Parts: sequence; structure tokens; C-alpha cells
Amino acid sequence: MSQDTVQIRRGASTYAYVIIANQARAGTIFQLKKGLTTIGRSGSNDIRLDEPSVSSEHAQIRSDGEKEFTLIDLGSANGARLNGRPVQQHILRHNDVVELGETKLVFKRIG
Amino acid sequence: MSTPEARLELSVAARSDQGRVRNVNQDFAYAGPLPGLPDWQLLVVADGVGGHQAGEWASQKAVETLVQDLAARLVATEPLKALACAFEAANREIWSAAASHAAFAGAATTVVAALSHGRSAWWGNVGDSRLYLVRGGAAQRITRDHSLVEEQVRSGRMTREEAATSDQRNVITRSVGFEEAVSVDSGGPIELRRDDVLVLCSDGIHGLLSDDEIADAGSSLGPVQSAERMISLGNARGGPDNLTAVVGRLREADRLIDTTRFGASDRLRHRPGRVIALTILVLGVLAGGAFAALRTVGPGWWPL
Repeated sequence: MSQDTVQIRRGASTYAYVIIANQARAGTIFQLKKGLTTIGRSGSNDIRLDEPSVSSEHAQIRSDGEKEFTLIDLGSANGARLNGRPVQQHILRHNDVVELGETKLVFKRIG
Repeated sequence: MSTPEARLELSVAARSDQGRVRNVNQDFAYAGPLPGLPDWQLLVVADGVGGHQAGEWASQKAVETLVQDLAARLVATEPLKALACAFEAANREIWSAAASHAAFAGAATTVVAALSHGRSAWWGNVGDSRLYLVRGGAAQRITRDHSLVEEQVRSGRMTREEAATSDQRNVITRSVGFEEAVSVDSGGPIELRRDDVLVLCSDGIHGLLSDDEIADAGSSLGPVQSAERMISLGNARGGPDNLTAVVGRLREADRLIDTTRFGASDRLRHRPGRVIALTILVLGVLAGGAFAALRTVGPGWWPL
């Protein structure tokens, strides 16, 4: 199937998600919320990653309206990496690979 | 080494490639056991449509839903019914997202899936991705394309030759997520024999490779090499579309690890220092265990 024949409606909102790329929950998709999406090992997070290398409150992805999604490391023990490089805070682009401890997530956005 | 009683298992691999022309890969694939059901293997290829990355999401969502839904449902449901229900669940997920989010308008995907347990395999299909059974060096198409040209060929309005070059060959007549309900083709069980190969692929592969070429690539090599061979052949012919191949080969369980990839057994057997080399190999395999598993027997999500 090759051609994108469908026009996106006017005023389409952005939809962003992460897809887990390794370990037990690989392939799982999480929608990112407007405002704040929290990621960590504890059950209170929006995205719960039950892996030993992930801190209980590891990172956040913050969106300002619909334009930008920013990854923020919350001073976690094993840190956050973006496409292999350690980061504290960084704007995400489509297909960016976020590593939290040993868990890899791929950032995706639509629109 | 091989006895008639040898336990047979499906050794699987999945590969996906963006190709040479597209700037996104809207295909997605899975090959591996179902979570919590190690005796069941699932092979899936999905080819998404919809602009602005919506097609990419649709193929990922369909594969995720199939894996999770089948893992939950197979305990209490017959395989054929479970497959149909899982396709319907994926359809609901995508259709309802597309109905409520403008960003998803038009998001849909083809899905072809094969589910195996022991020697038996069941399949489901919507769209124009394909399942082949390669047996004795010949490829047999198990699925029927839900495409405009296939329908015209079947009704006698177009020849196979015309279909192969038609500018409408990309138009599909059924997809997962495009409408509120979906009609799923399904079948099985296929009783697999030793060395039978299941090949699932997107049209980026079967649009460029003949059935004979798919049979050749599928039957002469291990699953990883088969899938990579199909993709490199497609790319050598211009790679105009995303290319995805999932390959499962029924073979003895003790050969499940694809040693050809590591250049192991045969060569080592004739060399001095074989024990040391083997030790290094074993340590290497252990160290790279997760990676090796992903490269050979899955579970593998591609192109993740």
C-alpha cells in the first residue's frame, strides 16, 4: 500500500506517543498527555516501567499546548539518554530514542 | 541426530526497512511467542496508510493489539475465532481513535498474521500484505489480496500481467481501522512439515519479488537470512516502498538458535583450540544474549 490518499482534516491536533522498544513490554504504546506525562517504576506514574534500572520517578515528558514535547530527567539514578547521549532536558523529535536506565522508548508524533 | 520424534519448533525472524524512496516506515511487524504463552508463536506484518505518520501509528497499534488480545484470548478460545476477534479488536482501536482525533483521520492498516502451535498454523488477513507457505522449494499463496487489481483479475477484467504494472495496484479494498466493522479472511490449521517456511510480507516485498524468488530466499537460508535477503533484493530493485518480511521455519528445537549467524559449529569442529573458541562463543552468546535472541528467535518488533 503506497499512497497516502487521505487528507488530514483542517486544524488537526497533534497526537504524540511513545512505543516501548525492548524488554518485557516491548511494542506497548502510550499516548502522551497534554501537560505532563510521568514515567517511572512506581505505580503512580502515567507510564509505569517495572524494571530495576528505572527509578520510581524517573522522567517526565511535558508538552506546551500542542507544539513541543520535552523530555525532563528527574535526577534519576541511571539518568536519561536521548539517541545515546545523556540529557537533563531536551525537546523530542519524531523517532527519537529515549533510554531510561535500560528501557528504550521511541517517541512518535502525528500531525 | 534427527529422529522422527524430534521436537519441532518454529524458528522466526522479522525484518523491516524503510526502502530507498520513502522517508518514513509505515510497516510494522512482530515475530515471537505470545506473552505468557511460550508454546504459541505469532507472526504479523502490518502496512499502515494515512498521512502525517498516522499510518505508522495504525500499523503499530494493530500489531500491539493483536499480540495482547491473542495472549489474553487464546486460553479460552479456539485459534481461528481468537484470530478473528483480535483483528476486530485492532479494528475497533484504530477506527475509534480515527473517529475521535483529527490527527488520525484516514489511519488504517493491512494486517496479515500467522499463529502457530506445534505443527499447526492458523492465519488471518485483511488487505494486501501476504502469507506464503514455502514447501519443497515452491511458494504457495495462502492469502488473497484485498486489492482492486486482485478483484479485477478474479472477475476476469484484468490479466495478471496487466495487474503487475497497473497504476492502481496500490489500492486496497479492505483495511483494519478504516470502517467501523471489518471482514477478516482466516483459515487453518495448516499442518506444517519439517522445513516448511511461512513467509509474511508487505507489498514492498511481493510487489518486487516473484513468488519463485520468495520461495528461493525462504527455502535456502535460515529465517534471519531469508528476511534480510528479501529486503536486500527489494532495495536492489529501487526499494520504492517500505519492505517488511517475517519468516518462520519449522525445524528441530535444538537447532532453534541460528548458528549460521555466528559462523559456529561446522568450522569450529575442524580447528585446533576448539574448546577455547567454543568457550568464547558461549560467553559471547551469553553476554549478547538478549540481542542474539532478538536477532534469531525473537520476540522481535520491527522496525523498533
